Amino acid sequence: MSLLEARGVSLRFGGHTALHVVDLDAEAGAVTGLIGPNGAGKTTLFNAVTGLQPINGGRVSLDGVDLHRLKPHQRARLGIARTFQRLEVFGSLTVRENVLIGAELRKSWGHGPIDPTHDADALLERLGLVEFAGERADTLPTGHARMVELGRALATRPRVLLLDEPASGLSDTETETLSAVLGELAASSIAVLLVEHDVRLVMEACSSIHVLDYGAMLAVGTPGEIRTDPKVLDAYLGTPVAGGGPG
Amino acid sequence: MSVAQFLQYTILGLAAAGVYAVAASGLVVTYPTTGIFNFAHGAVGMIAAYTYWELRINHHLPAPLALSLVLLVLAPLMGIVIERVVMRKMGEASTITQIVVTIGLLATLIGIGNVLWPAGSATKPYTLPSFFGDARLVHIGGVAIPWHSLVVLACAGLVALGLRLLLHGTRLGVAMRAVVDDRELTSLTGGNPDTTATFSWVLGCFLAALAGVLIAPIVSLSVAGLTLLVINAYAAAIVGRLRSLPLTYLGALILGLGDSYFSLASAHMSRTPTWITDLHNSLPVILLFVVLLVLPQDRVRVTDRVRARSNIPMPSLRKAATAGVALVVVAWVAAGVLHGSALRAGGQGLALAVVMLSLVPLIGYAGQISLAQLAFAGIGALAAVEVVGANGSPLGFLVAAVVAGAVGALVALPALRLKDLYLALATMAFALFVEQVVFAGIDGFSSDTRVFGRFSLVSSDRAYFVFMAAVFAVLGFGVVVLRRSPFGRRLQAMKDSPAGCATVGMSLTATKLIVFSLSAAIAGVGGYMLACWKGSVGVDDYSLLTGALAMLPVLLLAVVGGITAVSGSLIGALILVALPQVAEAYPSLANLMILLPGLVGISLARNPDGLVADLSRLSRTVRDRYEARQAATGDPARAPRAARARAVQPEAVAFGRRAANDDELRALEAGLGVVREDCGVVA
Amino acid sequence: MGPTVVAADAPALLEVRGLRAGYGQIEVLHGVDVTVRAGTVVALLGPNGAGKSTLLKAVSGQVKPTGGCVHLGGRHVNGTPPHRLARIGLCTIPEGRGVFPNLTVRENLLMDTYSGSRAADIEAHAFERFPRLGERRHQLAGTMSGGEQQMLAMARALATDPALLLLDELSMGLAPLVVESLYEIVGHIAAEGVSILVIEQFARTVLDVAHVAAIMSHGRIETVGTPAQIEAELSSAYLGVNP
Repeated sequence: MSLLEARGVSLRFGGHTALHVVDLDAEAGAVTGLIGPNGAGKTTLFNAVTGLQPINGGRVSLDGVDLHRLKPHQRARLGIARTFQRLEVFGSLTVRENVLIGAELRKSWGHGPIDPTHDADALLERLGLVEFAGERADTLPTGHARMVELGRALATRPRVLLLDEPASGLSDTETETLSAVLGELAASSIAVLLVEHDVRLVMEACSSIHVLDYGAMLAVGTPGEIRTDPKVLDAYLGTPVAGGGPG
Repeated sequence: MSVAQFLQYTILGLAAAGVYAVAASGLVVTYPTTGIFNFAHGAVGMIAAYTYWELRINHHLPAPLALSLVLLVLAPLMGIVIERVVMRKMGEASTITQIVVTIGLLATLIGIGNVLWPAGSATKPYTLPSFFGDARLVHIGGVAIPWHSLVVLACAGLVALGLRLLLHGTRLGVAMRAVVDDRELTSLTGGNPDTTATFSWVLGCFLAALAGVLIAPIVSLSVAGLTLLVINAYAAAIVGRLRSLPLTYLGALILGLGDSYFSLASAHMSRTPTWITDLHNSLPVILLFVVLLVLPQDRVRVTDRVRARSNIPMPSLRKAATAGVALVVVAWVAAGVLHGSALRAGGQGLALAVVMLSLVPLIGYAGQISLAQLAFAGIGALAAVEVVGANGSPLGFLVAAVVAGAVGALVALPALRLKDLYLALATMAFALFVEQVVFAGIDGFSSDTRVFGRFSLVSSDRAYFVFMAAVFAVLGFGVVVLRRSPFGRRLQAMKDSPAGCATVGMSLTATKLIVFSLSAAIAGVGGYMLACWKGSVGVDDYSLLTGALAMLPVLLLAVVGGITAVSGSLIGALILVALPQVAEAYPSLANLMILLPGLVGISLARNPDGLVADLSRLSRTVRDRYEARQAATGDPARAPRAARARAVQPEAVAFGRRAANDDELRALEAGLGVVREDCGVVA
Repeated sequence: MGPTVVAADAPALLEVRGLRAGYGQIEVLHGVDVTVRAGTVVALLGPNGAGKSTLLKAVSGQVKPTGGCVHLGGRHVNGTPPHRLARIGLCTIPEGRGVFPNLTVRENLLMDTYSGSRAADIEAHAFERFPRLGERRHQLAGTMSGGEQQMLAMARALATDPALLLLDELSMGLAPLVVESLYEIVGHIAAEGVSILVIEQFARTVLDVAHVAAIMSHGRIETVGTPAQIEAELSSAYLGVNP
């Protein structure tokens, strides 16, 4: 059994079916990729897992525990953390405070004796954020802000970490840092779920990849299998417009 | 009761519903198209009603002319002025700023009403005849109905029909609905959002004015009373979720008929207890509160609004402690120098500063709004005097804090799901309920004569003055400590990104509950302090709209002083209590002093950061002017851009197939005054 | 089908030079240069977060540039409000659905009259090209299928005779067949001489109707080339394979 499991998850808003009977597995100690064209439903699936959007069918479970009816903050306390594609940093707080808040919250749930300050400072160091630690988060360029969100999520010491396009807007050095952190996470016992458009990064970091297309799971496999799957390339590049028209 | 009586009350209820429907549809037109809820809607109706009285009674104009002037000239003019001067560009501001600005407008209009039509000093009574005469009755099926009721019903029907035709049959109307759907797309199709906004303010003001004119003959005119009557219609608009006109009409129907049947029922009671009457009066407010609570609410979601940047100062504890000690010393000196009304005003300022301080963690840190702080203050004061008695005791402060905090939590519990505007409306409804039902029902309090004593240690004015400064210093220090604590961080995080908070495991519910309760507790302490300082207080000291130091001016001055800083509360409170002093010393400024709180609230539309930012902008403008003058006298490289404009004519290309497009494009470019050279493109 | 042949020295209808723009303090475009010559279709490709939509918004007036310039028909138009540009022949179909969901089909088309065309002409044009819209003229746009909604949006581009058309991810969430038929329409509009700047994630689909393609990343234009050159580059960029 995987640490995070989604079975037959469906989600509709209005008349639009955003997710259609989707299965998803994220193993502990591995980075699982979730790729697909824009509008395929990747972020919606993250919202379903974290409880920000209610699902219309199926179930999501963490370590066998059904998450149904749990509010977002309760799921977070069980160990699900995430970052956002459209940034959700705490803009009026400093970078350090953003990370510190995650550590402090974890301490307030009574998860063993930890020192929030120490945790936060260690994370700032690890993510290369020390020199911006005192700056307000809303003054940062996108790349730094994404790293701040990653730090905030890691500060809660999650069991499952959902990363929504963490590399978009990152500079090359930041992408390297991210790649290294992903490697470390894979070696730990965290289950990482990665949504990313930089396919090279996904192929490099992930042990298995899920491909979502039109709200349904198109393919699941190793990077090698996904790379050679013609269905996947079609999903990404589309099909040429056939016939007709002036030319 | 007879069938005829029932019918009569039904028709009276329908007429009341008609007024509510007209007023509420104004809100439902303006809010979705502009994104701004007009708290001043009721005051617009009030101004219209008084202007009608002025024209009709004081200047003896015939009714049709007076009506035309009010509805077709004054109301549209108010709409245009409000939109152009105040609201334009406010769509980008934070919801709190929007709320505060329209409350500023509300306070200004109430101020204007009080200046132009002061209660009790008119040569003629503030009453209006009904349309077609008071005595003219129509008999339908054995029931006598005033003509006025029929006029109201006809107006409500015509408004419904007219709005339907406008919104579905004309391009302007369709564009107004299009803006509601998708503002960006509307401008991409060529619709001018400013035009639709101006028109919807005009329409909103017209409907508010119509409601005001329709209701005026039924009641005797009073500034606060008329404003509140139209505010009652807010409940109907909320039933329509501020979007749906049919549901708004349904809400108006519930309000009007409910009110009428309540009257019918109490008419049949042998002896009506006063609380029944009070409850009856606050029926719309209760409905507003209940409807807000049962409304389906948005879930926690990813923010889509541009967040307003707020700077929250974080003074060191040493600095905060020093400032606190300094304040007490200054207060000790001031208490020796000041006397008479100045001392009384200064003391009130210190007490109100504590009430304003309660808004710092709530609005300044957590971004949650409350219009009920003075109600909590009054509750704290009442609870304290009930427990410790009229002689006073330090224990009273504890009681005030605990009881106000508990009531705050009780209010917050159901209201927690509400955000921004809905939270403001719910707390407003609660404040009005407390004022109209609870405070009004307590002996002595309703007549402002409830006696409060100070405890013996600080019974002299001077001692108590210093004591209040010390209380503010201690609580202010506590708020600074809070700002620096993990909990303070969480409050700000909640303002910045609710979704972010939830996904790091923060319970938004618990956090809001705590801060709401804490804030109410601080307000309770301030309320008890105010009561002991004045010696006798009552409902007028803890009111939302009426009274010299009502909740709305308190909120406005707190924001103007600086809602994110402890010192801002003190500054705001001292300005507020200084206004009447200035008015007394310089009678020519008296009217300005009445209008000032509202006007500064409105000024936030241009500049949400308050007065300090205004000053820095002014200095920048002066510097720029100076530099421009320097440039004009010599160095061509420093000449303003506009002077260099059109130095190089770009090579034009036909744009589209219509020649008119090219003309328009040329006009556009000329208006911008920039040339290709500026773009690094060599022509 | 392939794109119509146009002269390489046709005048520049849209000229973007050194454009900088962003949201608040965060700059998204760090100096973008793009030219759309009269009668051409330019495809803009690249990963999410590259700044493609921001570029389109800067051209349409929705985002105010902080530097550089936007020239329409050789005229400087930086910072002009979108509705004024729309009225002189700039037609923008934004990301998502370019329709008003709570207006009926006819009311949606009525909104298109701000471009200067008459309501009757727009309706006639739209219903002739898309008979299905005619059948549903009184239906709320939001209750139609995604494809039908996008047709309604495209009707604006067809019926208002724009000089320049900006398209942002027409294909978002639509089935492949629907996407194909939409791009056929784009081809027709281009053949009528309308210049088009189009953002699309499905590179193959759009490259068939484009004259020029550009890849954008990190707020800059990285590569400009013919569709064939760009397609080869893309398949490797997306999945690291040669198709």
